[in-house]
Formats: sequence, C-alpha cells, structure tokens
Amino acid sequence: MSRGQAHTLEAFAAAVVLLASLTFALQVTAVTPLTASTSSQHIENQQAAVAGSLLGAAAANGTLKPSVLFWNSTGHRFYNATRKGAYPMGGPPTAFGRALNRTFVSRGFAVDVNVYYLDPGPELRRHRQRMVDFGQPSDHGTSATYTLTLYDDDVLYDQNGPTGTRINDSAFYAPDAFRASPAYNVIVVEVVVWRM
Amino acid sequence: MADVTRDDRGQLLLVGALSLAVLFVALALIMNTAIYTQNLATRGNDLRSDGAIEFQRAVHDGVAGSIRYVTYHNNSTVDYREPYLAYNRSFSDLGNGTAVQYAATGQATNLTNVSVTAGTRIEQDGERNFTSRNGTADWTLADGVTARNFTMVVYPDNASLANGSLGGIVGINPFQVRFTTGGSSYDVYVSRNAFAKQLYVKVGSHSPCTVPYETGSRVRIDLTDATINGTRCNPLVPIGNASGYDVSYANGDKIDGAYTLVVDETYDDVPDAPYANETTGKDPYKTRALYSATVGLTIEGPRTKYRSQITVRPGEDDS
Repeated sequence: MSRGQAHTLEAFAAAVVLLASLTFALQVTAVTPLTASTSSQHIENQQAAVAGSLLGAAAANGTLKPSVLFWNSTGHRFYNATRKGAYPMGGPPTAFGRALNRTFVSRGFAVDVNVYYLDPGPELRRHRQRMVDFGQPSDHGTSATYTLTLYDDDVLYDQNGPTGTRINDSAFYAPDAFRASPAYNVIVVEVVVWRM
Repeated sequence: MADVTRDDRGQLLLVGALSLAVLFVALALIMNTAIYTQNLATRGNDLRSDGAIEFQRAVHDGVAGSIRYVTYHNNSTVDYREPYLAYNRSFSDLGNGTAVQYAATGQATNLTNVSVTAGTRIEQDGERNFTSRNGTADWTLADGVTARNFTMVVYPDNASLANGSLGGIVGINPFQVRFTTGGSSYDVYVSRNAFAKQLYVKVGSHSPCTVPYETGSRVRIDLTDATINGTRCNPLVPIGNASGYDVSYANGDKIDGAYTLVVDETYDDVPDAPYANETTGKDPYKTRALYSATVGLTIEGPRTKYRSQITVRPGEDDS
C-alpha cells in the first residue's frame, strides 16, 4: 500500500515540477515595444506621420499661418481661448483647428499645439506660446513640427479674415526679433499627439 | 533496458524534470531572440530624412517671402543697394532664427547667400486699360526676359472686352498677351461672353478656359502659375516653364484692370518709354526689384548631414 502512495506522490511532484518550469519559461518572455497594445511603437510612428502630414497640408492650403496669427491683441490671447491663452479640449475656430479636431480629437487622441517663437535680446532665445492645451502629454506622445517665417507686413487675423493690423504694430505674442530687416520672427508650430 | 529500481526512480524523476526545465528556458530564450530581432528589423525611424527635407522647405519659403517683401516694399529709385541690403539682412536673420529653432531639436543648420539676381517689377495698380503710358494699344513690356509672378486682375464687366464665344472664336481684336521667343510664341487672348457672363482665356489654338463671373466681380489670371481664380488652366502651363521671351500686349485698349510681373532684367535694361516715372504715381510703372536668389543650406544631425543649394523664384510655376 505504501508503494501506491509513493507512486502518487512521485506523480504529483513531477507534475508540480513540470508546471513550475513551464510557468517560469513563459514568464521570462519579454513585452516589447511592438507588442500589440495601445502604446506600441507602430501606433506612435503612425501618429507622428499623421501629425506631420496635417501640418504640411494645412500649410499648403494656406490655413496654418492664419491660425498662428489668429491673435486677439487686446485680450492677449487667441480669440475665444480660455486656458492660459490657449484652447482647451479642441482646436482653434479656424480651418486648421477644424482639421485638427477631425483628424485627432474626434478619434480619441489628445493634442497639444505649441508655437515656439524667438525672443530678441543679447542672444536669441526660444519661448513657447500654447495654442491648444489638453494637459501634460503621456509617455507615449509623439510630435511633428513645421517652421515658418513671419514678415513685417503680415497682419493679424480674426473671425472675418485678415485685419488691417500689422503684427509689428500690435501686441502680438511674438516680438519683432529682427528689427533692422523685413523678417519679423521665425516660428515653429509643434503638434504633440498622444492617446487619451 | 535494465530494470529500474525504486531508488533509481527518484533520481530519474529529478533528472527528467531538470532537463525539461532547461529545455523550456532554452525555448523561451529562442523566442525572445526572435522577438528582439523582429523589433530591431521593423524600427525604421532613426535615419529619417524628414528633418533635412523640412528644413529645405522652410528655407525655400523663408527666402521666397524675403524676396517678395523686398520686391514690393524696398523699391529704391536710385540703385539696387537698398533692395540688396534689405534682402541680405533678412536672409542673415533667417539663418540665425532657423539655427536657434533647429538647435532645440539637436540639429545644426547653416545658410549661405550664394547669389541674388536683380530684376524689375512692372506694375499697374489702378483700374485702367492695358495701354502704355502714352495710350499705345500695341506695345512691348520687355524683351529677352523671363517673367515670374505675372498676374492680371481683370474687370470683366467692362465693355471694352471683345465679345467671344465658347466655340473657339475669340471675338474681334481681343486683348492679347504675346510671349515671343525666336520663331515660336504663346498668344493669350482674353475675351468674354457678356450675355452668359463668362470670361474666356484662350492660349494659341487650344480650347479656351472659361470662368463665370458676376456683376462687379474681378477675375484673377495668374499666367506663370497657370491658374484663373485659383482653378488650373492647363494651356497656360508652358508659359510658366518658358524662358527668354519678349512680352508684349496687343489691343491693350480692349481690357480693363491691373497687372503685375517681375522680369529678370535690370531696371536700366527694361525700356523706359512705355512706362511712367514711378514717383509720379501714374500707371504703368517699373521699379527695381529682386528676381531670384540662390542659397546654400546645410543641416547636420546626430546621424545625417545634408547639404544642398536651391534657387528660389517666387511666383514662377508654384515656387
């Protein structure tokens, strides 16, 4: 009778050892950036490409510069912006903002749009003006940028189109970094995208 | 096989289990290696050239804007020093500005001013017919030039436009822009159908491009960009690509409106007689401007170094 118990015990021990080694082996495999999840590398690459294309298309259609110049100089903010001068939870009420909403916000992506301008001084320095503010990006955010140049004869835009106010005559967020030349400032528009 | 005794069975069990464990660990290692290799192989982003192409585009747009500004604002009545100076200042500021902005992303940029081509801007600002200063209807604007940004704003309501029709007939003595080079020429006829409220732009023997208009509206014909009111007119495309021609108007009294073009001849080489003096404020006039610029650009990142030289001619075939 003890021989049967010994056999059973042996079988149990074998099964436990087998199971433990199997579990150990499976737990050792890695979760990589390409593992299917909401934050895989492929999704990040795709977001970056779409953001870059959105900026390129907006510039080609001539809607990016009017959005950068959509500034209410009396209120020191973008028109109808509420959060630190930026738009919370959506793009500006311009053609570029509508394209931004259709491409990203309506599909569950959060977007930050930052406008970097130059500040004159003993050295040129970069400063940021937020245009769209959804908060702090997650660790898996990607960004795309577009560089454009403003000139002394550019005018501010409002809901009705171009106004008669030249940017070097107004309280625009970017100062005239190049006073002695026709160039006004060099602006970089950055779109940061992440999944909410 | 020898009989396995009770004592041996325990050892066999242990050995068997250990070897199985080693086998599973080895399999996990192989699977990890496969995943790692696949991960490395599908990474494609490190050596992107997007930064370099984007920088070239930004420089192209910046230089085009500088040329445009100088062409329309820095028109000296004396010599070319003021436009050159303004452009050079704008260009060096563009170089400093882009260097600071791109340094924030870890890329070093540099711009060099290779050359600038002087030109002349010929313009009629006010609404007037397209005759010369003295009222001559057939006259040459400039000869042996290449034009950029040749835009005409036409007032189609004006009764002076010849009455044409869609069938290819341009009407009697319609207004004509001629681009003559050697033996060949491009003739652009502008006429209208007042009843149907349509403007016809006919190039040579191609069928005309038609544009509907409303009373009081204006039609913008961009000859070098080959668009009419923003819509492409294909027969105009070869004009933007041509170079070294004589530009002349025929029947300039059969059209009303404004126009502007920039040619690559200096102010003194463009004929004086048809133009009013620019300080008098009369139309048409010519003034000093810049035609094009060639710039060298370099951008260096952690893994790529890109160097190129581009020529910028704003307004010539979408540039």
